[in-house]
Amino acid sequence: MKRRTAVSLMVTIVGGAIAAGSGLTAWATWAVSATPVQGLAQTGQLPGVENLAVRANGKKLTFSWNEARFASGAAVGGYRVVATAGAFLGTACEATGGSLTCVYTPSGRPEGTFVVRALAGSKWIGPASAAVTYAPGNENLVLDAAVGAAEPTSTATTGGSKPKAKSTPKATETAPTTAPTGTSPTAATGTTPGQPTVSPGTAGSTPTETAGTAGTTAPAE
Amino acid sequence: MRSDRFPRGRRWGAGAAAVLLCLGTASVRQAPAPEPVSRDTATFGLRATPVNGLYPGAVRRSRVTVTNPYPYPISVRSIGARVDSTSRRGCRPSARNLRVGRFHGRLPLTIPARGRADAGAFEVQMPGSVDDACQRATFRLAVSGSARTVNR
Repeated sequence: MKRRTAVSLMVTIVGGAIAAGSGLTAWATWAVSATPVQGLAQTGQLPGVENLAVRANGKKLTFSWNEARFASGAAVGGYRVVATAGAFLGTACEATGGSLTCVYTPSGRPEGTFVVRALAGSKWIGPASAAVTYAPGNENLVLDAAVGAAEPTSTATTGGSKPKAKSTPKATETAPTTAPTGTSPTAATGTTPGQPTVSPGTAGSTPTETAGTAGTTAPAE
Repeated sequence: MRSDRFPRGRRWGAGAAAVLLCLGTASVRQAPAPEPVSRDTATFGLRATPVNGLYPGAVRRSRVTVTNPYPYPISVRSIGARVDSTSRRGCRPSARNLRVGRFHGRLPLTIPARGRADAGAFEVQMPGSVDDACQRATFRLAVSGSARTVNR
């Protein structure tokens, strides 16, 4: 009897302890979610490239320009020189790895109007630079047909042999003797006749004053 | 006979235990529902800093701040983000144009009652394959998170 009573008391005590403790261990938690919020990620834009210049060396044209960077200061991925008027239209040459020059060896006569555009990634392409036109027969003559910025980019041929866009004639004066008209104005498909393109007033060269403009506005690739 | 199998002492003890167990069960309290907050009080809040100047190949981090409007602490268990939309047509909100990496932070993170804490950051990466139409675009990211109340 005593043993049974003791067992009963033990059961009672244990049960009471469990009952007393259960109140402290039965807490529940609940989940909460955040109010959805919006984050923003903004992309930059490729800058324009400045001071495109072209020099001829035999049948090769060497282009150079100033370095361009994103507004954040990061370097662009590369550059592409595009012929926008002349016997050939399209990509003339590209530069990567920080290079600021590239060489174009046309299959035909080295001539035409060119612009340069910055590149980034595999698809980003920047705006066209001011155009530069090279006229055959004027080796080492750097012509800058930039619209609104008619300063020649190279001083190598200063001394009057660097006509500006929309200005005349010194190039015209020399060009006719050395500038073959192999490319007819219409065949050029652009607006650049075989005559030096920076010589407004020359017969057949009506659009030359706008070559730079055309170059800058119609770089279709 | 029956009374021999269940002597009075045992019956009393068993009965007392049963009563106490019942009382204990009745005393179990459910965790109270979330204490009411005013209509003006924001729910568990997240804030992500904007990322600027992205370009092909760029990697940036957006820092996340957590705000707890409740009068008790919460434990933040997860934070994530995904690309939701863009501001420019032709620039799709896809991984080809922008990727959100995993969250970098120490989770779970306990935020004190009515407190705020810097939870960490997640990476935002622009791959080289990003479309040209994504220049000067704004990508909108959906940032979300989950938490649990902390036992009191």
